[in-house]
Amino acid sequence: MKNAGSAAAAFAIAMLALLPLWAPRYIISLAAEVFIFGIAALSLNVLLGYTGLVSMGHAAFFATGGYAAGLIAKSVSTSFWLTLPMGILAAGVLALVVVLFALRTAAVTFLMITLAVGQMLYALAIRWRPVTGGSDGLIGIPRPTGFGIEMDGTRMYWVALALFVAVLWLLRRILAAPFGRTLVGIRENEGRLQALGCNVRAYKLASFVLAGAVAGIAGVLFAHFNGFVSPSEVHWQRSGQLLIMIIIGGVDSLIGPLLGAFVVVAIQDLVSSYTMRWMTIMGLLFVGFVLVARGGLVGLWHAFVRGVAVRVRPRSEVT
Amino acid sequence: MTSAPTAAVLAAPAVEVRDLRMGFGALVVLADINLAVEAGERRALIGPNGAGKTTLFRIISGELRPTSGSVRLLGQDVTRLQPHMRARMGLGRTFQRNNLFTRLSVWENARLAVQVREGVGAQPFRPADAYATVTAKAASLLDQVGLGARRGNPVAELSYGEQRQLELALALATAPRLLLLDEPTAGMSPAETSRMVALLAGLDRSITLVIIEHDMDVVQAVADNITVMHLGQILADGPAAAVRADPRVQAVYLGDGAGEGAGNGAGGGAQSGAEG
Repeated sequence: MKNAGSAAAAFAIAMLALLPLWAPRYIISLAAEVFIFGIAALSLNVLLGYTGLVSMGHAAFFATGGYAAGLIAKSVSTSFWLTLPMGILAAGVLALVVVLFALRTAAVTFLMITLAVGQMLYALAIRWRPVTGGSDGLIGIPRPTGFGIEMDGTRMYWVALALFVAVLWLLRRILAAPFGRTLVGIRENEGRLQALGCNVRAYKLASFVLAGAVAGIAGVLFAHFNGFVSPSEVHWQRSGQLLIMIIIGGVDSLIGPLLGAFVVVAIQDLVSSYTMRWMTIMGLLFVGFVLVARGGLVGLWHAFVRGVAVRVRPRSEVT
Repeated sequence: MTSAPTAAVLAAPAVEVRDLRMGFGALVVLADINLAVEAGERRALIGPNGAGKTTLFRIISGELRPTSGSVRLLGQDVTRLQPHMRARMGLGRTFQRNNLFTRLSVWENARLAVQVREGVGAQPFRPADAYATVTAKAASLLDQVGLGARRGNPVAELSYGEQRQLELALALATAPRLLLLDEPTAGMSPAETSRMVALLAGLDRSITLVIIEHDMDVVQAVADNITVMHLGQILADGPAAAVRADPRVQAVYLGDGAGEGAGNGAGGGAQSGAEG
């Protein structure tokens, strides 16, 4: 069973890695974007799906990774071995500062504080023109280099895929380990966990910093891939979009956020070529999922598999 | 002052509260509570609903901070200590209403509790079931409370009584030296109650028990000493037999036989149970 799962995963990764051999260029770039936002949504799901914390400011960490990587690539070095760790570090440190404030409050205010901090950073990104480029954003960010080669469009796609797989693998391990089970315990009943001797606050802090740092990875990729970062990456709408990805994909899983990222990126691309109202379509879809499919796409899939199993079993018992 | 006549004063009391007072605005829930439970003792805390028993538990475990007064745990002042730190010192408790990880399996509940105690809760790489000491302890705890066969079930599928048993398993997982049990048999069938009583009576004397209980048969079977609370104050305490014979106690609590609900707390005044 486990081997079958690993084999399927390996097959899927191989197929995705071979995509650039036959797919048109714009499909590749769309797919890279799916992986980048997939990483960001995955990181947010550590908070939303596992720890049970709702953050409305997650885009701030994504954008911080992007700005850090962009600034370094433009003025210090384009080496991916520098921009990636620094982007992760910057996002992680910011997450630590934010969470130290936010955890002083109860759940609802936690959401409000993450929202407020995110919007403060949005204002900062616009005002601090000499560093951030103001409302134009940071433009002309070069492609990263590594192993002595520049990572052009297709290579960038592979980097995004590789990092997505690495992040997925890492988070799977962490969440199946005692640390992840403790986070789930916090989601389910934090008061009880505390009565058992668990320092709940420290775990929330750790999960927030983990989520922020991983969002930084996505931000670094975004900056290099698009060649720019702008204040709209910090805006709460971006945070909301990440939440929508998770909810459409499925909160209770790690693959759900990727599916959600795929749906959102695809719809945005598809619909915006016909109408400016793609946000409306997105909103309707979101409301639809919240009303009839709380488990998201992954939940629908499980329900479908169960349905098939129920229909198949009686027949196999007869024969 | 209170003391437990049966226990020799060898060590510090397992728990001691001094001049404890708890008010919410104008409402005084606890007034001048002084109480000491010796190590190894089995103490029952009884009294009509609204007497302040659960509030006292919540203050001892750190969920509530008292308006004034102090709490000492195993000889150490813990009045300002966080709940999880008190738990680590050896304070375990169960809750009046089942307070479990309802959407998780019985096994996950036990494993979570044990992994906190074993200090592996922060391990990020190996799967949670790969820690042999944790899984062994979780399994033996579930066996001890009689849930060994139910480990794969979600908590939501357990009967109420089974959930009570799991409550106890979680509390025991912390390897407590002081166990606060808030109505452990409430809502249980007679068979489940007698199993719970046997379980409590069989607990090692290294664990001090304080038990809030309305069922006087359970109190009789488990407790050495009884403390009676009424309207936020301690009315009487001492050896079980003496307390039961105390006329004041009979007036407010035991006298009319029904016990439970006799003086339904809030407004009642001193005569709340006297009509019986």
